[in-house]
Amino acid sequence: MSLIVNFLTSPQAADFVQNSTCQVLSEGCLKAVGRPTFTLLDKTATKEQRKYSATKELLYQSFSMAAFFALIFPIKKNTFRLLKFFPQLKDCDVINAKTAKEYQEKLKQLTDKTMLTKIKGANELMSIIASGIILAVITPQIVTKLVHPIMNKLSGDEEKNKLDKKA
Amino acid sequence: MKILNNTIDKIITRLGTSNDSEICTAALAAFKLIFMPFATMSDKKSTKKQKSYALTRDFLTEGIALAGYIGITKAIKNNLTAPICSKYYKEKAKELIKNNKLDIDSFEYKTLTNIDKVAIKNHAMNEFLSDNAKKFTKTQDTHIKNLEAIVSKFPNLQNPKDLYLNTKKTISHVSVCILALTLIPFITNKFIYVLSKIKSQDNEPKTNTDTKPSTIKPFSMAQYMNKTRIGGLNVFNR
Repeated sequence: MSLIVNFLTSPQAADFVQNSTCQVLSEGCLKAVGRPTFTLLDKTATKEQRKYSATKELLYQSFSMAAFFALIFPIKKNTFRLLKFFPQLKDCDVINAKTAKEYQEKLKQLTDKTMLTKIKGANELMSIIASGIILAVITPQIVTKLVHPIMNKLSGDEEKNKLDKKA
Repeated sequence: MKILNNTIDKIITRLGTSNDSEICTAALAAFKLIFMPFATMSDKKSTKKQKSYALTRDFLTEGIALAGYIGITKAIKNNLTAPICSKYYKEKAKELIKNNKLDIDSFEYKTLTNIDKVAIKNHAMNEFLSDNAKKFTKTQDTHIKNLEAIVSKFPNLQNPKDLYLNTKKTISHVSVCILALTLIPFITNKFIYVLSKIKSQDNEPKTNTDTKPSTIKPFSMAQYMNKTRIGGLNVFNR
């Protein structure tokens, strides 16, 4: 019990879960396990339907995690360039930064706590929007193209077809 | 335009102060609720049955996820955070007694073991509430001031506001993870079961109870054989 309480009340754990990248990654990894398992357990559907849906979900979750890992960090590094589009931050000098290094330096010099909070929030908002575009728009389109060849390979249909052709 | 700016201002302030897990995951679920079915529909190689099942599943899962992340996580967070904070102070008080830093009869021990859960919640959450919604009685204020005074004496203890906010964030993430792993796919399966039952009932042929059952019997082979007098020849059984 004390272990659970210690974990839940720990400031380190709170800092870790505050990051939207960590939130998306941990949720996505758990979904990659949970969703295909429950799809395969669903007895209302036929075997073919379950296989298609479970493969699609597994592929989607694993592929989206990889795509997310590959794309989110470069995007996050450059979100400061878009801060100037927020009218709430127009009085802040940080938005004029031209390089990531300059941005970090200006951020360190900033003493206004409200502005710091808003900049952090704006970065998180852009990160959420970027995650949405990566996970919900780009990845499903790619997975749709990949699902059938992978499903065929998994079930060995391709080899069967080749053998049939040879025969 | 002004309304939009105010909304964005509220959103970025909220995300900057307390970026709880359910905000990001619910936003992503909303994105997926719109775009995932489109991607499934664009798959030209799958059969109609596979597509309709995957489409139903995608739509239901993301819909349930959106509702669950907002509703269930919020309920868990609101009901569990203060009791866990109270448990934290109780355990810390016991530790302090073990290390001979406190007496059982001391005021500090009594305060740490009898935390006012409503006070700790109101104290931490007042920052996010409008002036009209703020609730904080005098006794609650005294309790929190006493607690803060005790916490300042012991560097190992977190102050009530930070403790509440930290615990809230972690509980939010843990509940999102549990929902994602088990509860959402489980509820989706149940919904699909109910939907398939309804669909199978709709597909069953309807029997009209008002009309009388037909009295005309089907014309049997025996009758045919007798009528045509072929039966006597037994040509069919040869």
